[in-house]
Amino acid sequence: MCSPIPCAVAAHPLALEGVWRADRLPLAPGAAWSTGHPALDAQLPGQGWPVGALVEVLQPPAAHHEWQLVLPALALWQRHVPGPGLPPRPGVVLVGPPHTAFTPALAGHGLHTAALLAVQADDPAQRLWACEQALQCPDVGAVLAWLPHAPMAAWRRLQLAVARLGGLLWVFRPLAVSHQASPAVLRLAVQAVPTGQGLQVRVLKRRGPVLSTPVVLPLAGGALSATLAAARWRNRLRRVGLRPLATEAPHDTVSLVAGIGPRTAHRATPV
Amino acid sequence: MARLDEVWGLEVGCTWRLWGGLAGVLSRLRAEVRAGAVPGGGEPAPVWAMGPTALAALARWRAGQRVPLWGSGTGVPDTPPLLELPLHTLGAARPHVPVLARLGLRTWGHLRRLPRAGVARRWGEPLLLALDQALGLSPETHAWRCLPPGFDLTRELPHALDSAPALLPHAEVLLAALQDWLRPRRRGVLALRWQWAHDARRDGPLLGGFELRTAQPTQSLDHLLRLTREHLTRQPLAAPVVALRLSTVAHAPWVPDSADWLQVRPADGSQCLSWAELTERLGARLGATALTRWQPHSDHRAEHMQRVVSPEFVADNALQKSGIDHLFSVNHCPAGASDPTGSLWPTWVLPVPQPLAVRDHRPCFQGALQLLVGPQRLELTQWPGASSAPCVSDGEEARVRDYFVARSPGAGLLWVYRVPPGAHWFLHGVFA
Repeated sequence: MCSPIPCAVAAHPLALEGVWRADRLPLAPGAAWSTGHPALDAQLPGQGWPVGALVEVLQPPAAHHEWQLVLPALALWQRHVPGPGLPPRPGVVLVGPPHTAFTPALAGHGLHTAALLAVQADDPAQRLWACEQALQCPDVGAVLAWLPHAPMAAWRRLQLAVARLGGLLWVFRPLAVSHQASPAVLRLAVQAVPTGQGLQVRVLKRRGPVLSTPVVLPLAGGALSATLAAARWRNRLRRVGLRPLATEAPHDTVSLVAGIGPRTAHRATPV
Repeated sequence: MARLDEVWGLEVGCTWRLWGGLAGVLSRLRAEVRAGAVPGGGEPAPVWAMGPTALAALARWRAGQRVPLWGSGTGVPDTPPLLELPLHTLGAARPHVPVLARLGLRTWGHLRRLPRAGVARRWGEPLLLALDQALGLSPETHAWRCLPPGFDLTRELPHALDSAPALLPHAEVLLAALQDWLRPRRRGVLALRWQWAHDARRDGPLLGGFELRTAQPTQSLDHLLRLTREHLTRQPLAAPVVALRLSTVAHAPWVPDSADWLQVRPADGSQCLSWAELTERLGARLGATALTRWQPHSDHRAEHMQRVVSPEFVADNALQKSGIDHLFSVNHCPAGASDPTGSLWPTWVLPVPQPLAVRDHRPCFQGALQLLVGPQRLELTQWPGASSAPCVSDGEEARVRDYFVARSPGAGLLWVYRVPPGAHWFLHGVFA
């Protein structure tokens, strides 16, 4: 029996020796890689994405939050050395991406975009085949696949393929398939937070107790969140009636706001 | 290996232990000859004989002390002493056999007992030399067979074949021959040409074919066979094929990857692909346009900040292993953004901006959009002489765009723009 991780249970009245409690997260049998979102790490077995296993992410139609979810972990995974004397595995393969990946933005978040490869295929069988081939390459560390529908046998083959070399595999599917069974080790449903920026993640399936409350991931820090914060601050000032001056902006946003573009007008349109 | 009059001679004495003795040599020969034979051809098994020298083996073969390589009667032929062989088995003695017979000389032993000076005067030096060489007393020289400088092999098919899966076994035999040609020269193939000859038809083509290119010199039979299979499956055959031809177009010195065994390996020991092999395999099946890699380009317009690069790099110097290593070396890009404003761009970009519906003077996409940050005005002018044109959607004529970051209730943060004079809004990107 895997030993449970102690998450604030020392004082529990039922903390008897040799008794496993069903509301504890077990240690992941395989390795795990930190997601980069502390709130999500706390809810996943092994505190991170399971390495060498299939992770399914469900999203509402026309919503695309893949990079927000995956980038912090991916940027570090590319540079990660699997073992002593082994080379890093920087290859990232996108199979069937919905739009064109914008590499200056991805590079700004720390991804090594020279090792990024996008594969387009309309036929679902061809997409599955491309995933399997990519997972057989030791230079490829992570595969992101958009596979709306596939037979159960195909999912199992993908699981075996990713377990062979121990990479990261994310499969993005529409939210409508949440009621279907899936052999994925981890299943998440991701939506935008209705008010404010950030993601709302519901853990549909994990190796551990069921999680009923969704996890809220704030927008990762960086130039974009600083810009949005500066815009909110200016709007607040305008509502009060003051005209914002550049010197009164919050300290951390001045230099970044000035760097948006060469011809930025320093006012937001009234909403 | 050399040609001895009417047979092929194979010198195996120096590498006896390598092959594992006579049994090893015979089993290798059987395997190779069988693999190269046309299946179902019905050709008889080749016969073989052996001897201490080439001429002795030839003499034994001529004397009938030979057995087929496989089938009935196979085994090891008897090897009675060489001196008992009849004289007609020695090539140099053939013209003199009638005279020697009338003198009562029928075997090598008889000829050997004659005085050497007399034999040389009567029948010539070559006869003495041949006898000495056959008995191993003089060294013998042969014109050894060498590998041809270029590889070009044609294989006649047993009957006309009209489907790609039927052609594959023959293609595999040709590729195996190619691998045997590449290995002793330590070269890897960079470009191959497959050609086939069609059945003669009244108004059809006589030849067909395609070329295969790889980014790195390769000797791997498996990889080339897979690429050939993908191409053959996609290529329609105009008529049944009667012959298949493989020739090399380009080859380069091949250096095996010494760091291979240090890479991550699967637990069950099955084979892995390299990055170049992966891109070639995906490109062969899905088409070269299905794969995309990007290179950053300095421009103020979003559409031109990255350039699509062919994943195979056929024309570049990045063919060499060091070039591909350079692309992969993550040490060139330090952890943490090189450009702090890079994260202000959206991570998904639509190749052609999508027009948005407008309701109550507000653009809508999965709900009414709330504009958060903006406007950022970009002009779509380009440097004079630049070949890239801005990609505009239908109906857009203006040269200036005002970009905003907007929030949609259903789709998160979006990157939209409007064309200033009118109320036309377009969606250009999605923030993750």
